[in-house]
Amino acid sequence: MIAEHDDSMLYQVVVNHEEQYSIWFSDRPLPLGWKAVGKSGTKQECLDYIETVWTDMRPLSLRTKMEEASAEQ
Amino acid sequence: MLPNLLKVLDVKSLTMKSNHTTNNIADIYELSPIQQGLLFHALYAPDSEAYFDQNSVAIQGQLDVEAFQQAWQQAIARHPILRTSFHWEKLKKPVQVVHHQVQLPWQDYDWRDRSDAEQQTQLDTLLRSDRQQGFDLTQAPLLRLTLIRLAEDKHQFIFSKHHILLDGWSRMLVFKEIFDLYQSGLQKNSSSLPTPAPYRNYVHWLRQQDSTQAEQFWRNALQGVKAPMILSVDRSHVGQISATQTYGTQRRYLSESTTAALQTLARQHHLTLNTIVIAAWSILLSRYSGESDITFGVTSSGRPADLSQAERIVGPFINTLPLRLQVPPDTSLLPWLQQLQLTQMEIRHYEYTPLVQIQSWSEIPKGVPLFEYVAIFENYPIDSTLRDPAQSLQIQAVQSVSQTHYPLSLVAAAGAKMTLELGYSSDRFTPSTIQQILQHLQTLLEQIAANPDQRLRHLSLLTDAGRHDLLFARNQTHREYPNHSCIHHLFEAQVQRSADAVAVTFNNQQLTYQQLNQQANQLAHHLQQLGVRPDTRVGICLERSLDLPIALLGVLKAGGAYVPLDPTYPPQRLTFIAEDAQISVLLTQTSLLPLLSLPELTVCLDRDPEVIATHSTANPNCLVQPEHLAYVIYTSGSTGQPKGVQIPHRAVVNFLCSMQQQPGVTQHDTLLAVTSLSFDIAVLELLLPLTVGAQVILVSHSVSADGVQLATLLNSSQATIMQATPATWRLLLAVKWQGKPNLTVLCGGEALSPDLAQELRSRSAALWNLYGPTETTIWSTCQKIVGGDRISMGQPIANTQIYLLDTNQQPVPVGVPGELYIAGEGIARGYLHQPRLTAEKFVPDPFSQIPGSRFYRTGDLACYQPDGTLEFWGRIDHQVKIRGFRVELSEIEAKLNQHPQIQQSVVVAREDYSGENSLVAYLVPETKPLNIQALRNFLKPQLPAFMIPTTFVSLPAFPLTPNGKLDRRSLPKPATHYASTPTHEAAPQTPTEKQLADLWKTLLNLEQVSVEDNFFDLGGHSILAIQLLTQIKETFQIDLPLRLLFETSILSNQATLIETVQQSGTAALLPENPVNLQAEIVLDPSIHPTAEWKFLSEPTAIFLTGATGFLGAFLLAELLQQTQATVYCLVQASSQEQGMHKLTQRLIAFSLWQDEFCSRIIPIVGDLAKPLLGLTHERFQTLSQQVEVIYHSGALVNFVYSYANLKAANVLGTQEVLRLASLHQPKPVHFISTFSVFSEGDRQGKVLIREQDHPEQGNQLKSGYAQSKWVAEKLVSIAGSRGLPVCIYRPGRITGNSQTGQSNLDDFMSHLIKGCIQLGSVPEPENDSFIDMTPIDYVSRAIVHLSKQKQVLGKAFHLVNPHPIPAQQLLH
Repeated sequence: MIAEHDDSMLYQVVVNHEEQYSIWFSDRPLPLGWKAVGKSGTKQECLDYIETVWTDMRPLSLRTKMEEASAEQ
Repeated sequence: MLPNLLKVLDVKSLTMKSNHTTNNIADIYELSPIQQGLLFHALYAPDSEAYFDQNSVAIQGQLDVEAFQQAWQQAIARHPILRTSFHWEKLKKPVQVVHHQVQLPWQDYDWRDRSDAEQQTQLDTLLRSDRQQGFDLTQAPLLRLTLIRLAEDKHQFIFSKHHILLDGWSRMLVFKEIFDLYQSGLQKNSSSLPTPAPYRNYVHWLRQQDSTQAEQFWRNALQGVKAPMILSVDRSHVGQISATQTYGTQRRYLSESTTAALQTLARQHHLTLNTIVIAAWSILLSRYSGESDITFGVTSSGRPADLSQAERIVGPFINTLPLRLQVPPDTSLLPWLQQLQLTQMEIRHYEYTPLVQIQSWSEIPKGVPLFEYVAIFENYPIDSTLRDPAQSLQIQAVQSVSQTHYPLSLVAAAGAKMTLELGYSSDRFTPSTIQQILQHLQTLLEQIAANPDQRLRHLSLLTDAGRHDLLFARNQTHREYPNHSCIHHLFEAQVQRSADAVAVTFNNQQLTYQQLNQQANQLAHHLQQLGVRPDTRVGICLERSLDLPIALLGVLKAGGAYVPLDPTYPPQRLTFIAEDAQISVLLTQTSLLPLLSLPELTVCLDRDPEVIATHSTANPNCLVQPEHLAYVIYTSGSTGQPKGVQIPHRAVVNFLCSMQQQPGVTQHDTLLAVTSLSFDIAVLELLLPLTVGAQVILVSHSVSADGVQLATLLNSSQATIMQATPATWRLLLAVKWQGKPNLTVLCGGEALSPDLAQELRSRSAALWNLYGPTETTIWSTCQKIVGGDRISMGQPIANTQIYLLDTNQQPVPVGVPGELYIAGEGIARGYLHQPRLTAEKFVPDPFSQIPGSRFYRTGDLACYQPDGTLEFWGRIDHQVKIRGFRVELSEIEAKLNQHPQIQQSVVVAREDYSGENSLVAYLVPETKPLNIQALRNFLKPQLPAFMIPTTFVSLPAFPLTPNGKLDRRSLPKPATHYASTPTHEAAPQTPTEKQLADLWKTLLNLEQVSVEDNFFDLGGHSILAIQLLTQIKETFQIDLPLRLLFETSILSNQATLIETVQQSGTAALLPENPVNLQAEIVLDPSIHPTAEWKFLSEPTAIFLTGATGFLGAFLLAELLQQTQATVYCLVQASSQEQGMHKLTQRLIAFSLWQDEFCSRIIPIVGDLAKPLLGLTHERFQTLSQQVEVIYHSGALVNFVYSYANLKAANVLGTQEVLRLASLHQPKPVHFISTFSVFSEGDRQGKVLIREQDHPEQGNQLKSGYAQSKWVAEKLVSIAGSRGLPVCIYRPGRITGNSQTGQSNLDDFMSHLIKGCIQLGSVPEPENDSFIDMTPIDYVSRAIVHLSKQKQVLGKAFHLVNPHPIPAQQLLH
C-alpha cells in the first residue's frame, strides 16, 4: 500500500538544534526547528552525506552538559 | 432479410413465449455490445434490480390524460426500440425482436380521496413493488407507464423501463418528444416531428467498424494492468459479486459558488466539467487504493460522429469503458487535467468496443473484472430535460432510481449545484464509508475550484477539521512525568518506601527491595571503578537468576547502558553485537564464558562476589542524565545485520510512568517475568514492578519455553500479571491452560488475532493489547480488549503521538491504511554508529509544535476504523503481489486459523521455479494430520483464488526467535516442487463430464479439454457463458442460474454442479439468506376493491389455480360435482389444447375424470409466477369480468427451495390473484394455505392451535415454502381488510383418497416412505410425536362445502385430522 518514492525524488539534508541530522523533501518548506545544511540530492546522496558529517550522535545539549561537567571536575 | 432470419430462428418457440404471432414481428437483429452486457447481467442476477430504470415525476397543471396517453402511444409507434423484446434460448447469438404493435402498458389510479400522507406511503409502496416486479426481457414492451391522479391539477407519473432499451440521452429524447406530441395532440395538429432513425442503424454501423485498430488501441492503453484496483475501504474481494446484494445511494450537492468556480475553471482552460470531476475521482481512488496507476470505468455517450442522426436515435449507446490514468503526486494540476481530457478524447474513437472484448485483450486474468468502480457524468440533468415547452404543465420533483451492478459508482450531474451521487453495494461498503468518500470528493473539488495552480499532492482529502482531528485531537497525551530522573532513581525512591518487601524471587530464592538495592549498588561501584561512565556500554550475558536484576540495576546505577547478550543466541551473533556495541565491560557467569570472545574487562558474578562485596552498599553518585543511554538493544534489520537501538533514560522513565497508570500496576501485584532481556519488553517485566513496590517472579528459560511447566507455575504462583507474545500465550493454550481468574494478561510483540483474544479473555481478569517498536521504547500504544472481532491497537501512551501517513507524509483518512509514524518522549536516540540509517528512519516531524522534533517511521501499516479504533494491518513489506494482486498475508493466516484443525498458521510468499511469487502456508495442526484438499475447499469460498496457498506444509511447531517471536526466516523450504499450474491432462471421465466437455469444445472451438480447465481461461466470456447455459439446459434438462455457472468455471466442478442440480434442484446450492418476512408483506396499493360485492350461493363461473396439483385436481373435481359452474383453470402450457390435455390427464390419473366435465373446464394458459398471471392486460381484464369466485390453490411446492425461489409463484402469484379478484366486481377468494404457517414460536405452550389463532412468528419458519405461504396469507388478510371477501384454509398433511387409495406419489411423505423401503430402515421418531394425516377427498370436499356458505368469509379453517396417528405406529 505504501510504496517508497521513486529514486528520482529530491531531498535535502537538514539538521535540528540538537545537531541531529535527517532528510527532508527538497520542495517543501522546512518543518519547525530544522534548517537545511545546503546539501540536496537523491535520498541515497543525502544519506551518504550524513554518514560522513554526523560523527557524534549524542544530542548537542547532552554533549554540552557533559563538557561543562568535566570542566568543573 | 427478415424471412431469412425467421428461418434461422425457432420462430415457433419465440412466438409461443411472447404471445405474439409471427405476423407481429417487424424486425429481428443482433444486440449491440451494451445490450449484450445488460442481457448478461439480467441473466446473471435475475432478482437484482440492477438496470431497472424508474422515473417518478410530479406533474402540476391541467393534464389532458387522453392526449398524454396518446402521445405515449405515438412515441412507442415511432421508435422500434420501445417495441422490442430479447431472445436467447436455443439461439447461437441473442437477438432483439421488434414487434409491429405492442399494448400500451398503462395503469391509471385515482387517489384524490386519500390524504397526502396516504398518497406518499402508497406511492412508495407502488414504486417499490414496481421495481420488484422487474421485466421479463422476452416480453415487449419493456416499459411501464403509471399515472396517478393526486388532485384536480396534480398527477404523479411513473415511467419504468429496462436500461436495455434506453440510455439517459434516449430518455431525454423520449421525454422531449412526449411533450411535443402532447402539445400537437392538444391542438389537434398532427405532429411535425421528423421520422426517427431506428436503433438498427447503429447495430449495422457497428458491424462496419475495424476491430484491429481498436484492439491495438486498447492493448496499448491497458498494457501492464494486471489486477483490478481495490480500495482499502472495500470490504470484499475481487470477483465475488453476490447476486443478492443490496444497493444504497447517497447524494451530496456542491455549493452554487463551487459549481460556478468549477465551470469558470473549465471555460478558462478549455476543459469540460466531466474532466474535472473524473480528475477529482481519480485522485480520490488513488489515495484510497495507495496506487498512482489506476484504472476505473467511465461511461461514454457512444453516439458515433459518423452515424447519421446518431444524436437522435432512441436506444442504448452509452458504453462503459476502462480509463487508465497515472496520478503522479508531483505533477501540477492544470497540465494533468489537460492531459486527462486528451486521454478521454482518444478513448472516444474506440468507444464502441464492447467491454468484454476490451477485457479479453487486457492482461487481467480471465473471470476477474477489469475494474470495480465507475464514474458517470451526466450532462443532462433530468429535471431540466423534463420541460413542457408550452409551460402549461409544471414538472417537479423527479425521483429517479437506476442502479448499476458495479460495487461503487459515482454519478455526477451538472446543474446550478453539481450533484454527486454514489451508488454502492452494501456488501462492500458501509454507509459511513460512502458518506466519507462523498465528503472527500467534495473537499477535493472545492480545493480544485479554489486553487487550480497546485500539485496533486497538495490536494488533501481532509477538511481542516478532519485533519486537526487526525493529527492533534487523537494525540492529546500530554502528562507530567519526572523528566529529570533516571530509571534507577524511580527504583531507589521505591526502596525508601518498601525496603523490606520482597522485590524479586527466583525458584526458592528471594531479595527484598533493600537487598536488591544494596547488591546493585555494590556492583555499580565496582563497575564505576572499572571505568563505566554515562553512555558506556556494558554487556549482560547471564542465565536467568537473581543476578539478572542485580546486573541490570547495577549497570544503570553506574551510569552505563546495558547491552543484553542472550546466551541462547548463536555465538556468532553475540560476538557481532559485543563488537558493534563496543562494550567495555561484560557481566556474565563462568558457565557462559566459552560462548563469547571476551573483552578485556569481564565480571563473572558467580566467580567474583567477594570482590564486588567489598564495595559500598550506598547509592553511587554519577553524572548520568536523562538523555544518557539506559540500554542498547539489537533488533534484526532488513539488511540482515542486527542494529543497536539506543534508548535514553528519559524515554524509559516516561514509559514506566505511563504503564503505572495503564494497564496499571500496584504494590499488590506480582508479575511473572518470562521474557528474555534481549527483547526490550523485558524492561516492563523487570523494572515496572520495582518502581511501585510490586514483586517480580523470575522464570527460567527452560520453564518459560515449556507450556506445561509454565502453566503450572503461572497457576501455582501468586502472579497477577504476565506479559508475553501471542506465540507464548498460544503455547499455554496448546497445553489446555485453563486460565487464572485474577490474572491480567499483557499481549504484544506481534499482532493479536481476534480468536486468541477471545481465548485469553475467557481465561483471565483482563486482556491488554500492546504495540510498539523498540525504536520508540517498548510499547507506544495500549488497549484493554473487551470484545468484538476487531482488535484495536488502542491509544498512544503518555506523551506519545501516532500519525498514519501516506507516501507524501500526509495524513490518511479514516478507513485508509497508512504508515504508522510515532513521535514523542519514547523516541530513541538513533541506531548506534549508524547515522545513515538513523537519518532515514528518524525524520523531521512536521506536525509537532516542539521545534526540531523527530518521529520514527515504523514500516507498519495501520488504519483508523470508522468507530475510532486503530487497527494494525501488518508490515508494509509483508504485503506481497501474487499474479499482480496485492495480498496481505496475515489475512490468509487469519482465515486458516479459523479452521478447527489448525492451531497456528503462517503464510509466506516464496519464488517458485519460474521466479513467480507463490504462497506457501505453514501450519501447526491441532492433532490429526490435515487433509490438504479439504483445507483448500475450506478457503475457497472465503478467499479469491490467487490468495489460496499453492503449497501447504505441516510442522509440529513454528521456529521462534529467542524473543519468542515467530522466526519467518527459519521456516523450511517446501520439499516438493510446486508447479504454478497443473499441466497433467485429466481427461473427462464421467458421462456428465464427457457431455459437458463436448459442449465446451464446440463453443470454444477446441480439440481437447481437461477436467481441470477453466472455462474463462480457455477464452470463454460472458456471451459464450450464456450460450453454454442454454446448451446445458437442453442437454441435461436442468434450469441453472447463470451466476452458479459463472462461479463454477472449472469443468469438473461444473459437471458436479450439473449432477447436483439434477438430483436436488438449484435451491441447495444457493446461499441461505435470512429473509425479513415482515418486510415482504407488501400488497400493491392498487389492489383495492372499489365496488360492493354480492354473495352468490350458486356461482356460474369459477377461477381455480393449481388445478394440476394434487389437492387442486381434487378441488376441480369437487367443484365440478358440487356446483354447476364453469371452472376456469390457470395452467402452464404451450397452448389451450395442451392445457386441456394436462388437466384431463391429471383427473384421469386420480380416477376423478367424468366425460361431462369436458365442456365445463376452460384452461387459461398462464403462469402464476408472472405479472398478471402471465396473461395479457386484456385477457386479465376480461377474466376478471367473467369469473365470480376464486379458489387459489396454486403454488410451487418444494421443501428444498428458498423463499427467494418460491416468492414469484407463491407470494407475487397470490398478489396477482388478489388483483384479479379486486378488479371490477369484487370476487370472494378462497385461499388454500397450509398448517405449516404456524411456526414453533406460534405452537409454543399450546396444546391445540385454534382457528382464531394467528400465525404471527413467521420469522421462525424454516422452510422457504412455509415462509412463502405465510407471506401470501398475510397478503390475503390485507386484501380482506381492504374489503375483499377472503377465506383461508389450512390443510395439514394430506394423504391418499380414502375411497380409492390414490395418493400423491410426489409429496414429501411418499418420498419418505419410498426412501424407507429402499433403505430397509425408518428414522427414529421423536417419542411423542404424532403424524396428522387427512385423506385428500375429505379436504377437498370440506373446502368446497365450506366455501359455499357466506359466513365463512373473513375466517380461517384448519383441515386436519382430529385423530392423529402416533409417529411410532406409522413408521413401524
